[in-house]
Amino acid sequence: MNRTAVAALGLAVAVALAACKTGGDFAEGPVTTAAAPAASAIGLEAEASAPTPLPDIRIGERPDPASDEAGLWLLFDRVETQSRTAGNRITDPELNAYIQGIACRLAGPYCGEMRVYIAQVPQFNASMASNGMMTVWSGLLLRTRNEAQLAAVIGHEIGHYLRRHGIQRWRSMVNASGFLSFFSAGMAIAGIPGVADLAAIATMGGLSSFSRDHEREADLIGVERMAETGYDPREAARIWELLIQENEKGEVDRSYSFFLSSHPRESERQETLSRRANLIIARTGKAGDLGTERHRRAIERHRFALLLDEVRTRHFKKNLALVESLLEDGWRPAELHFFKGEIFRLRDDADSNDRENALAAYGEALRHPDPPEQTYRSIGLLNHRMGKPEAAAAALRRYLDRRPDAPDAAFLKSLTEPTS
Amino acid sequence: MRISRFFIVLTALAVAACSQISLLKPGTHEIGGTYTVQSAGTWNRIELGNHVSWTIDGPSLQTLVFYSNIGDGENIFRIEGSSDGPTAIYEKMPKFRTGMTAPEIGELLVATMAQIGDSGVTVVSLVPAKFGARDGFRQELRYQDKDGLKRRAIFLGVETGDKLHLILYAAPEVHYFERDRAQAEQIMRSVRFLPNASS
Repeated sequence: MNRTAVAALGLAVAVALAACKTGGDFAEGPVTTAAAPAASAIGLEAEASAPTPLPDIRIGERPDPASDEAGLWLLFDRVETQSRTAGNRITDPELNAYIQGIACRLAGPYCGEMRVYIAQVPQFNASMASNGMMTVWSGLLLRTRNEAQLAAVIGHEIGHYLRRHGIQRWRSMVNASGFLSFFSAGMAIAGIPGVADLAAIATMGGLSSFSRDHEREADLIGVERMAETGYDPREAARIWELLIQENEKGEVDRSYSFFLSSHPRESERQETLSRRANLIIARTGKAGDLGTERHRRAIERHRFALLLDEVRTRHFKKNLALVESLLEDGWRPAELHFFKGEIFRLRDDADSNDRENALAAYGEALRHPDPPEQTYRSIGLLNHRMGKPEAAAAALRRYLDRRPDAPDAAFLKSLTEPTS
Repeated sequence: MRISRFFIVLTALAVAACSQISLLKPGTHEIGGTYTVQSAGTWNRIELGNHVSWTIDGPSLQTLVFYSNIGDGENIFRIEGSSDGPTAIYEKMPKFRTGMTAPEIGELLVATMAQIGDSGVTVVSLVPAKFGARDGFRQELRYQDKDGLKRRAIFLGVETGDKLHLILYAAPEVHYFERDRAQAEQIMRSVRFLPNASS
């Protein structure tokens, strides 16, 4: 890879990084350069000057091959090629069709210009590249409670695409920074922040402040498109409300975030979206659709895996805040109580009575219909750790009755024997 | 350029820890001052922080990694002498705790791999196995790296003297995993704890 390409990649990734931060902790999850390296996303950053206005992109329009915009598209075309085979791409046809369908409903005649990729990353985010590659992170699917909320985020991304925010930010950043910064940021996003010049990345974070107007504009486009296509626009603000709650209750550690968006800004954004939604409803006289059942049908088969991904991040307070928030909806409570128990079992903090809390949560899971069979496994392992071999053996037997072919059956069976 | 995330991580660790690469000829080799293994073939040895990686063709094609003396409250990857970014990232990884059962250690390994960026990590089997003369476990996994390349891994592990010891063999499913598996398993079977190793 030559220096120009590295610089270009670095810049693009830095732009993506800057724009993609919504949840607030950059360093916490797997950074997926292949699957989520877009030019703009639903970021909150923002302090600054007005972007250079450009005409909206037209259907079928492609940049002049001699332009910097064409270079940016080419870069994202290459990234998209990698995204197609990325290890963390979720390829389930039904789920992809569902998300693409929402994008098409919102994009209308621009539907054919956009391609949706779902990345298995347990964080709240989505992004849009200049060439029409949209990436939705799996953590977003878990956190949105209905189709309208998902539509709010996708509509926002479509706004970035239509207004060509990617190339505008690219030009702002090229004018404002230097080669070394691009390179360092590129290295950082590749997963090696220690190798990169962190100060340079921080500089990139500062540069992201150019995007406030873009984000506001994308927000407004998103909420208007929601209303136009029959969704309840008030759900756009609701997303931010949920995210603020999760971050506050989860005590998200922001010390690693270079592009952190603060709560006041999130609150401000939430309030702006709420006001706009109410104006739209007053104007049109209709609230629109939530699409809760469609959303649930689409993610039902995936939610256990999505929750498992979250718990594997081991950000226990954040995990707990999310699970408790989801429990408020009352949908499929057994698996949520199971994962609540998993959070306590894996954290195992004596000062927080985690073992007792875990057993209580597992018990709650078993009181609801269709508890995950792994509940018995976890009860068994926890009782074993607590020095209660009989209770451990009883639970593990119940698990092995249901999963005699479990990959760890031999070990679990040994824990059911008296000598263990 | 297709570089596995694992290789990138290893490379970063190598840089952070000022790694040294050396040629290993067939024979007896001491690991972490705790045990020895016998290798019948020639390997390249890369020292990476708290662990040592062996490879024939390059870490992304096949790697045999020795993680030794992991103590209570420590994660699988430890970086010594580094206080910048990578340490911060690895501090967030799941921690080993003494007294964990093999299924619990297995969960820890899967979560660690997921945090590194591997996808679809699936446990194929977790069975009792000898680590030297001591009773340990053997976990086999399937997963995909960042680029979507299907890979397989075998962890041989044991908890002894309040320390966790792991040997990882990992390679792409196509060609390399099976090609070098026998050699890797022979090395795993050859573990002999040193007389002064805690039990």
